[in-house]
Amino acid sequence: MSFFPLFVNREFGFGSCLEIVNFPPNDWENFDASNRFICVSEPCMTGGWNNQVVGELPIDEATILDSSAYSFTSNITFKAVSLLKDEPPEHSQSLPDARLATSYPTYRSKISITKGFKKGSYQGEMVSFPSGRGSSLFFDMFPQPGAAVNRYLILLNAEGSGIERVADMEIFGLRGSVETISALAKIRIRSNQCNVLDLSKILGQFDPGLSIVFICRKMSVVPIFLAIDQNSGRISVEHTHPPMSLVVHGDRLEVQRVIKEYWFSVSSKQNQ
Amino acid sequence: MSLASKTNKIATLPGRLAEIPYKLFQPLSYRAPGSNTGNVSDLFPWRADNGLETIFHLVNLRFLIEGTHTDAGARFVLFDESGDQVLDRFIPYTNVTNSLVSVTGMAPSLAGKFGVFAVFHVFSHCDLAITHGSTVSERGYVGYRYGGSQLIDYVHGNLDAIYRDRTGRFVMLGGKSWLPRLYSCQHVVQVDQTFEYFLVNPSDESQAFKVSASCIGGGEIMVSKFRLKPRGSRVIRYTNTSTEPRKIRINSRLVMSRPVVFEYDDSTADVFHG
Repeated sequence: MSFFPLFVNREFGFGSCLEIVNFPPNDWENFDASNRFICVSEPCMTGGWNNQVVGELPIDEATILDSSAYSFTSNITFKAVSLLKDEPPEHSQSLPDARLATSYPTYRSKISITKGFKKGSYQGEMVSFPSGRGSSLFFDMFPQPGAAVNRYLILLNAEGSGIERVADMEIFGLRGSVETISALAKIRIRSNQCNVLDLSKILGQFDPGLSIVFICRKMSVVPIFLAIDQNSGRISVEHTHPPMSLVVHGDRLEVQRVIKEYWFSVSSKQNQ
Repeated sequence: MSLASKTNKIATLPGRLAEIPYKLFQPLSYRAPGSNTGNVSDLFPWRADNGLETIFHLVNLRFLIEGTHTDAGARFVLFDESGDQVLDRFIPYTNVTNSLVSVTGMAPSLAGKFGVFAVFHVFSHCDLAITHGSTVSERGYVGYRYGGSQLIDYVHGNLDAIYRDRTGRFVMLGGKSWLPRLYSCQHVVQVDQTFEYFLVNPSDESQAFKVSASCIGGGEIMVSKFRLKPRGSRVIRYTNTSTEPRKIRINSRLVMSRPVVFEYDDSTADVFHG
């Protein structure tokens, strides 16, 4: 089941915008063509999701949802938007099942981050992570050497149960070899939220010799790197791939498990 | 299996049967390269036209996978819009994860043109990948600077398109079908909006493409019809001059002809997958 993330961050003043379509990306996979309810779900702190139908999207049409039209608070910075065949209940124990399954490619949306009149976009979707578990490993990507460019790391998480929990995102730096790995920061992140890290503040100016590793041992996240040119307001945004994307074919899940185990281990030794 | 799930599977049975001609005897994913001592690469768009500079974020992939930083660098192979090789250059890693390579700055002859490039890392073998029957894949991050901006707008690779064997021969990995398929971009073009669609042929045969703009609810106009040789590429610029939003649809025999999309306003190039 996939959904599309709608999120905001008041501290750094950005929101998001979704262009969702009610037609599949290909013409040959089995697809249930029908009008769809547009459901906006927000996590309920005590568990489950509160669902609100905000409209109906006819087959073959597209619409735009802007975060500015929805209410967000300091506790609700993330909402899941789904296209549903049946009207969802007002409250559900898990995220509503969208059944928009296509595989070649996955059914996606154009997701833009907006600040003022500027926007930067990527194509994506999310699936809910297993509740209460998961882990993340990724590296610092998308360098921006420009002195006036501020970088942020957006960490999106949605767990099926909707129950809030916290985990630590650990940031490590190294120079040229794993033996030099050292801890730089540890940031508390929350499930079912849009967590934002100010990378310009945490890491300082672009340092080409410093490699950065992000590790969260207890929560899965979608990492999205955002860069904003402070002079022009221009925005750049893109997400990274999980470690399994470093290889094709074969047992990619096992390769990912070994890569994670390796980096989790070398960073743990540093911690001791 | 729950009753609801069983019911859904039965209800969709005719649809599943209709998929069979599109799955039989044709690979739905990218073909295996036949060897895994080198790396597979995307065919990344390079553009030195329209005020764009193309930059590649070069990362030592084996370091990310195995923590090994003994390799020297990677070979960048550039192809022109016809798919012919125009450059093959070794670029050393200047550091582990933060080398920025100006692809379009490699040769003055690239100015005003576009094409695709591949990145082949120079390493003897990657034990972890080989052990699990996998091949290292460069599907990393290409950046574009527009109009002299200091901001780099990145887009990730998504095609496991090409492999170069030990003899230097290119093996094209893109899946192709014996039935034509339609790819619908997952956005619409609003009235007066202009997008550029960058299309690549990652297969080993010349392919015919038809790009059309259709009205929501029916009616279609042809935007462009062309053939691309293997590794060939084309930029299709489309402005919606009609009075209603349009969907962009790409007809070809490729399993998935998803384009990279460039959207401009006065000062910004927004680059994303279509």
